[in-house]
Amino acid sequence: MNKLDFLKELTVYLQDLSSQEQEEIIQDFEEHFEMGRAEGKTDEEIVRSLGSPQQIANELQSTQQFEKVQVNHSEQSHLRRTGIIIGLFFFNLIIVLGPSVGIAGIILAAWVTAFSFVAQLLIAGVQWIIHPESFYLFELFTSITFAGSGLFIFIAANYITNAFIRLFSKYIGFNVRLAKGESHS
Amino acid sequence: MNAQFKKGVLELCVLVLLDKQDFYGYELIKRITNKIEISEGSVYTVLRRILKQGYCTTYLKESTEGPSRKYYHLTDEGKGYLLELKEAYENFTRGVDSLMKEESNE
Repeated sequence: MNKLDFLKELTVYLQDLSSQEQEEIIQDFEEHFEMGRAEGKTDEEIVRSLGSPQQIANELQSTQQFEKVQVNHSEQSHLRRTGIIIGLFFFNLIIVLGPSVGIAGIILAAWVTAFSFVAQLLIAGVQWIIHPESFYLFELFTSITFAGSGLFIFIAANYITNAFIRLFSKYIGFNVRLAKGESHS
Repeated sequence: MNAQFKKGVLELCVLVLLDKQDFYGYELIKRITNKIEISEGSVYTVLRRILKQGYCTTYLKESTEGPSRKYYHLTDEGKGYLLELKEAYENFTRGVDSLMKEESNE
């Protein structure tokens, strides 16, 4: 193999690189051949000590590919992020929004129920004061029972509300992280 | 020898030489092949790599014989990188040396 063969083969293997890059590399090797010849070496000798063009091209491309992969990665992640944001929007709109509103409604209902159960004891008390003649002890006990269960519902509602808020803020955080393109925290 | 390992050591050799003075490719290769056996083409791949990473710069200089030569000059970043690489290499060889001594003592 002489200089021309070597450079031709190298060029073939360097097709993926930019033309400027290729030119610079070929120039380096042309310079190398010139100097070797000036020292009285034959092309064959120079080619032999350079190593195979394929090997050289592989080494050059592994540097190059590293850069390319990084660029592609950032482009891809940008595209992917847009996709994720659109996906999240529709997922939240269609699948998450309905049940969330439903759960929030149930929780609100629990609070209202708890409040009215406790409040009716006051109404019973007021009735006792205003119309003591139509007051039955049975009614008072029923009222107290309701008020007691109202207190229990308060406790349960409070617990559920806290859990729901915690879950909800976690879910919001998860959405934000996804949209920002960060993987798991 | 492991190709990856050889590549790393070759990079170290190139940086060490460039730290002393500016070289053009051919001269650099001769200096290295005087001491260790390598395929000369790899030196150019190392040079391109460190050039891309900003560890060296190039300039052309006329020569009395033949075409102008492309000289490689180590940058400050290159010097910093060389220090890192040197330290890693010294630690590595020290470790290997002590392992070999242990072996022979047994």
